[in-house]
Order: sequence, then structure tokens, then C-alpha cells
Amino acid sequence: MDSHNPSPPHVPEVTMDVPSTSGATGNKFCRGSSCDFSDTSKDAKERSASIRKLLIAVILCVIFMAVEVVGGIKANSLAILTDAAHLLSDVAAFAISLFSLWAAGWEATPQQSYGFFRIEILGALLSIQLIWLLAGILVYEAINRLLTESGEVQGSLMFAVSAFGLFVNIIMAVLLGHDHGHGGHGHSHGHSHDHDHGNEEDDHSHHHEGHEQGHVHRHGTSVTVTTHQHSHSSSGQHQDAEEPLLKHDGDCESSEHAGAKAVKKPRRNINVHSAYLHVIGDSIQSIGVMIGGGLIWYKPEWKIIDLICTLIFSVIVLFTTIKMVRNILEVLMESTPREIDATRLESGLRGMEGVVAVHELHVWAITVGKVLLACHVTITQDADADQMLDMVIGYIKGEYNISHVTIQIERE
Amino acid sequence: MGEPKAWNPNYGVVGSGDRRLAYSRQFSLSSASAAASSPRPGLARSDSSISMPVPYSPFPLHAAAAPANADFRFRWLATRPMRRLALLLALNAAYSAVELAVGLLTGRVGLVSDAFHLTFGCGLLSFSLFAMAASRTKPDSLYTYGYKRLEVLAAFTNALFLLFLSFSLAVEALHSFMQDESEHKHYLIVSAVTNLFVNLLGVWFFRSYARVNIVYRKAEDMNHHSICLHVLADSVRSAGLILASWLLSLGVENAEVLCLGIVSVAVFMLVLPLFKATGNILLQIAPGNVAPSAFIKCGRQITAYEDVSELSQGRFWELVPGHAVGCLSVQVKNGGDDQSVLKYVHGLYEDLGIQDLTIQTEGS
Repeated sequence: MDSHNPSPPHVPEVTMDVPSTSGATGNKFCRGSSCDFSDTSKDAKERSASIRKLLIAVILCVIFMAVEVVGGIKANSLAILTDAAHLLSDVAAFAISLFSLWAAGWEATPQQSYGFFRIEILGALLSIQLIWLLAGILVYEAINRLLTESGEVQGSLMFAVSAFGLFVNIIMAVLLGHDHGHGGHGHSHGHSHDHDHGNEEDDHSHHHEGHEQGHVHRHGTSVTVTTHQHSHSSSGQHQDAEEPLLKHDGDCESSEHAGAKAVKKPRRNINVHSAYLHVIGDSIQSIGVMIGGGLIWYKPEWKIIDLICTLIFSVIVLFTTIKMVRNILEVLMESTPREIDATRLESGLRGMEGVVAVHELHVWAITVGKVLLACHVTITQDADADQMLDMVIGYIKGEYNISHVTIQIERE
Repeated sequence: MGEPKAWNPNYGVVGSGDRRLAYSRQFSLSSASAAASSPRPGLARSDSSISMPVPYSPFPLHAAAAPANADFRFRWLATRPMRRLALLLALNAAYSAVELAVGLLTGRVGLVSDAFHLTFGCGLLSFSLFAMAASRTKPDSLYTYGYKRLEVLAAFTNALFLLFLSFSLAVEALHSFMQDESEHKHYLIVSAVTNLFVNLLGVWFFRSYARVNIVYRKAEDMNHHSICLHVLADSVRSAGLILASWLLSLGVENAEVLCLGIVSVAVFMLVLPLFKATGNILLQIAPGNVAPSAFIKCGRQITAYEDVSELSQGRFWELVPGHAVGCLSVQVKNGGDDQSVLKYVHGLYEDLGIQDLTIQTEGS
């Protein structure tokens, strides 16, 4: 099949996500519901997959917790009940993640014009605070054990209970940490911060679904008249057939011959990841308690070692959360995402012809992976504003893959 | 005129009693007029940072000493609230260290747990202090909006902690209800009384924020309010403990449960509005001081303007209370003058108090 020939069966599709057309330049802005920020089908799919995972984890957790509670009451042991309380905290963390995942899919309202994606971030923050709180409680318990001089603490029981807890947590970790099934394929669509959508797009292009939606949504606001039938042809043949009306498809072209590019590491949804961290933290703590319990079992006089052990493991748990906290803080501070170098972007823009100055440049993320840009560009008196706008938007989309861009063009 | 920009706090100069200014309508009107007379942001700066107002501190030597970029030699004691907070922090830290030492040495678990609780509180207060110090840093290429958000974050964390506290108090009440231990620990009274005094001192320092519902005009409002609520909640908790032990000594049954329950509910009600407000800012909700109808009216005015053919949905959010940011897209009719449209739209929104706008005009 000659893909150079823009006639049937490769009917050129004019796909726009905005219903009205006005002029040759097309619509560059987003109508609310069809925009990047609404819940696209990829988002929804990924979200429901994550929700399913978390639901399974919650159910398992509740079952184990019930087992422990019954056992603890029967054996009249405070240690087992305490461990049941830890499992309860796991359930709480999963519940927070589930709620965040669900709430992030809500439709944007005029009051919340960017949608509810930030709830994910706040939920993750809450989860992390819970982890810290639990670490603090555990240290307190260790001190408690140290101070109660009586031999109430049975090392053997502690050991057994925390071993059970560890076992449960490992199952959860495997369940939650299991990467997205589609992640491993070789197609990478360029830039790392697009992780959430990346997987689904790999999926689409790999499984020959020929679905346009994925790409069009990523370029949010462009009109593409192309024969983007990547479902039917291999990557190389696209180059001629595509005659994009607008030069917005830079990254699309590059992604088409990205077949051989390195595999992009699939990133987990931040809420699933925080639940995963919680579980890992719990396993680490369980190991610590096991060691403490074993020590007390073996030599009840060495209580201080139990405390030291707990302290060390709590610190380890805190270290595992640092990276996520940094990500969360960066998003909440509206800072430039790590993948984007603002100075380079600014100098790149300034280097374009017709551009006199660039100011008020802001790049920020709504949630990990959804990046926005806003800036003011001053152009020369005789430059064509629309053409400059197209150039700037194209450059930003091509180089940095930021699709939601607002540029104010001023003349000097 | 030499009228200072709106967000200059009079706090250190006029004295904390003058917070009444913040609640009167005049304040916001004067801020709006000051904003209107200032150079339009859209055509002003050539650096890629937001238009930062005159440096905050009323003391000129501190303004000169303000670091040019985000290095960590902050002025930790620059303004009066910061000094007070530092004092409070020092007191709390010293006290909790003493309590921890005594508790460990004498083997009293109650003291140790109280010391832990205090240490968490100290950590939070120090984060608030850090936010106050760091928020004066100028924006750079990584934090293009500056560091003012830190204050909102600190307030949010404080509010979260207070929610946790209320929850844990409820759990404690439940616990003592089930356990029915009537052994009340005498030594805790001394610690509770000291705690109460230290926290009451803190409440006095931040007494202008000792309300549940405050209208937030600038970033530090939230931070200060959260600190005040923090110390207030702690003092309520100490007072509750003292009351409980007194009632127990009088022979009232379940006094501990009752008191703890009341304190838990009180702290929860205290902190909920702050939590919601800070959460909303972090969630990028539309600016609270502008009514939604005002936005709709602006939208209609823009669409009615002669050169405009259509307007896309404008997105507005607040960086910190009082600093609103927005993005709009306007479709200009063929042959229309986009610069005049820009001026017009900027002017409209400046009347609402929104200065930081990026307007994309297309199609001329």
C-alpha cells in the first residue's frame, strides 16, 4: 500500500478536538471538555487500572487485619492487636490513594478550572505524613518497651507477629509494584514527563488500534490533517505522507521513528506509588521489629539494641520517602518541572527571529506529568503575530513537549 | 505616587494590634487602586520573574541584605513575628528536651510520649519559621513564582498536624473509655501546666490571629494563623488534661474521656476552616476574593468588545492569598488590533485585582 498516496484507503483525516474552525490557522485553544486537562480516555483507563489494583490490595489487607484482630483477641495479646493497627494504617493509606485516584477524575468546574488533578498530590502528601507518623509511633513503642522493665514483652511473639506482618506486606508490595503490563515495549514517545500517558500510547500504537485520539489529545490544541495511520504502516513510511497543516507535530514525527529508541521506564501513578512506599516502609519496619523481637527472645537484657534497631529502620523508611516528598513539594510550589530547563527554553525563544524579548516565563505542573507554560513574548513591529505565535508554540511543543501553552504576544 | 504596593506588611511597624486594617474594606480598595496605577505587568519587565513588589521588610537595612538568589543565608530574625516564633520554638524545644530526659531517666512513659508530641510540634513550628524566612527569596528559573507558596504549605502542614492531633485525642479518649484506668499520672500535671503557659505565651504573640475564620489577604496571614491555631490547640489540650485530672480528683467518673473528647472536637472545629482554605489554594481553586459572577461579567464584556470574536475559558488560580494568576485565550476578528484587545482585557481584570495575566490573542 502506497502510503504516499493520500487517497483511500488512507483517507486523510481532519481530526480536531474542537468542533469549530475559524481560518486557516485553526483553533489553538482548548474548549473545556476536550482539553488535555479533562479526563482523557487514556487517563481514565490508567486510573481504573490503578483503582483495581488498590481495591484488591485493600480487600486483602482487610482480610489479614480481621485475621489478626481475631487472633489477638483470642490470644489476648497486645502485640498482635498493635500489628493489626499497623495493618489498619495500611488500609488507611490505600483508602487515601483510592480516594485521590477517584477524585482526580472529576470534571473541571469554573471554580477549579484546571480540574482536580492536584488532589492526587495532596493525597500522596497525606500518605507520606502517615508514614512519618507511624515511624514516630514505632520509635515511641520501642522506647516504651525499653522503659517497661517487666518481662511483659515476649520476644517470640513479637518475632512471629512481625514475620506475619512482613509476609502480608510483601504480598502487597508485589501486587502494587507490578508494572503496567504495557510498559515494556520499545516505543517511547519522547519525553519522560509524559509518563502517565506514555504507556497507553505505546499500547495504542503497538496494538494496531489506529486510534487517533491519543495523539490528538496530546497535541491538545492542534488541527492535524495528516495520514497518521500508524496502525497500518511501519514507522519509516510516515515521513512523506504527513503534511501537517500546522507545524505542531514535531514530537509526533520524532516519536514515529522512535521504535528503536530506548525503553522509557514506565512510571507509576503517584498515588499507587505512595501506597507502594507505605507498604515498603511497613515491611522495613517489620524487619526491624523482627530483629528486635529476635534479640529480646534470645537475650532479654539487650533491650537497648531493640531501640537502636528501630531507630535505624525508621530512618531508613524516612529516606525512602524523600524522593517522593521532593516531587510533591516541587509540584505544590508551582516550580518548573525537573525535566525542563527554563533558562534554555527562554534563550531558545529569544533566539527565534522576530522575538525581541521574553518575559514572565512560567512553567509549572498541575500534577506529575501535566505541564503548562505561560509567557509574554515581545516581537518586532513588522512581524506577523499569528505566525510568530505558531512558531513559538511549535517550538515549545516540539522541543519540550509542553502542549498546554499560553503565549501573550506584544509588540515593542 | 509613593504609595507602597499592597502587599507590604505593616506588621512590624504599626504593631500587631493593627490587623483590624486587614479586615476593613478600605484595605482592599486601596490595594486595587495602587495596583491600577502601577505599570501594567504585561509590558513591564524584561526578566522572567514575576513582578516582585518592594522588598517586604520595613527596615531598610534588611532590604539591602536580602539575598539576590535562593541561597540559604536567610535572615531568620528579620521581622517581629519571626523573632517571636523563634523564641517560642526555643522554649518549646528546650522544654521537650528536658521532658524527654527526665522521662527517660525516671522511666515515666507519660512524660516521654508528651515529649514526643512536643517534638513533632517543634518540627512543625520550625518548618513555619523556615517558610517565613525562605519566602522572601527572589524567584529564580526553577521557582519562577518565587517561594511564597512555602507559607501556604507550612500552614497546610500545621493544619494537617492539628487534624491528626484531634484524631489521636479522640483515639486516646476511646482508649481510656475502654481501659477505664483511673490512675491519672500526677507528674503529668506539672508538665501540662508548663506546657499551658508556654503555649499561652505563643497565643499572646499571635493574638491578632486568634480567630477561627480569617480573611486571608496575603501569604503570611495563613502561616501566622496556622501557628496561632497550633499553640492554641496545644494549650486547649493542656487545659483539658489539667481539667481532667482535677475532675478525677473530685471523683467524677470518666472525666478523662469527657475532657479528651471535648478537646478533640474543639481542635477539629478550630482547624477545619484553615485546612479548607489552604487546601483550596494548593488545589489551585479560583481566587476567593473575586465572585464567580464577576468572572462571568468580565467574560461577557470581553466578548462584547468590538474586536473580539470569541473567548475561551479563562483559568484562574491563586499563588498565595492575594496574588492571582490567570491564563486566557481570545480570538480576535480578522483585521482587529490585538494590542488594544490586550490592553482592554488586562484593564478589565486589573479592576478585579488580577494582575498576573497571560492572554493569547489569535487570528488578527
